[in-house]
Amino acid sequence: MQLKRNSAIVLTLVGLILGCMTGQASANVIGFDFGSSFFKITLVQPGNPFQIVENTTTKRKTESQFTLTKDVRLFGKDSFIGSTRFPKTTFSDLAGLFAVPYSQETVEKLALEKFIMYDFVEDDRGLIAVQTFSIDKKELKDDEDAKTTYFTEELVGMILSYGKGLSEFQASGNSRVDDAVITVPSYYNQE
Amino acid sequence: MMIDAAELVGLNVIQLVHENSAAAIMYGIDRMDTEEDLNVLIYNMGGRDTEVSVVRYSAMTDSKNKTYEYVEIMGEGYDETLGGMEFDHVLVGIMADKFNGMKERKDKADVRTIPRAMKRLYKEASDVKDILSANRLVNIKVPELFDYVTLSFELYREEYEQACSHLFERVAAPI
Repeated sequence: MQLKRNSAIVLTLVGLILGCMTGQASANVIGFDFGSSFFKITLVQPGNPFQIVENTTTKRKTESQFTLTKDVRLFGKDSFIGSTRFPKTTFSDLAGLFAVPYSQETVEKLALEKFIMYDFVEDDRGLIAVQTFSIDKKELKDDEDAKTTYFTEELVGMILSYGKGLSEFQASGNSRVDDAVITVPSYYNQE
Repeated sequence: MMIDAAELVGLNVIQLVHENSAAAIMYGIDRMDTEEDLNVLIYNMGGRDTEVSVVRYSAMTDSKNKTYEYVEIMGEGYDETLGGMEFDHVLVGIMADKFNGMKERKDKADVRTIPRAMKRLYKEASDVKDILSANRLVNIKVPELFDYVTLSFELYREEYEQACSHLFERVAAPI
């Protein structure tokens, strides 16, 4: 009985290790150069030299901005063109809004000096967040003017997920991309 | 917060890399000459910020006569608010002033308070910057910018350079 249990444990351990190894071997890794105006991605796949991910217009750099509309999210060049139609929901230079404490003066300063005119609100951490309509369709149906607050992380996350989607599209067999190395400016810290 | 953003969309962040360090490592891989130490200055002006790093490439040989190359980051400097966008702001400022100074816009609202008009000016600005890099003169024309008033004027490179002079002074500062 004892032996059986031990062997069962050993078996599960072996299975775990094997699982980890195969998991590692089939993993795709992307390198994400997240700049304030453009992002570029490299894709490293097992057995392949690394390649640069191309966007939907086969360009290697994509505008780091996106536009929220009531129906769709526009990314890249579409967002750049759409920025004049949707000036208040086209978000660019988002990493610059990371961890900016909210105050009326900061918002006015952003509008006056940089002409950034989103509908800013204060989130529960006292940082800057953006209030706009929800992209959740269900909420929209209930109330046309349903408003949601987006943290800056969520907005940046939407661009990151778009980049992730681009890389998954280019990865052979449309396999998943789970791991990433992201570039940051040298004055960022780990907080 | 970048890690949080990545985790929200299901990306597992293995590492965050400084932009300049990434460039330094890439150059280190390509570098063929391993005989001498080499100091390199990396200057990176991006959309929002400017970063400068000094890196040293050197190699050491161990007892088994195997050579290891390595990279050291000697120092870093940065200017958080000097970047391409700052030059855009200056150009948009010039255009907005011209538009506000037109006789059709007398006693009317400042164009800077109208988001849609400002976005159009920014779009125009990114084109104008490219043209002025190669040409001395550019014809700026934004049809029906606001209230059916068209903005149209000529801008010389010298004029723009003069308006940006306070930014040029800051270019060498991080070094």
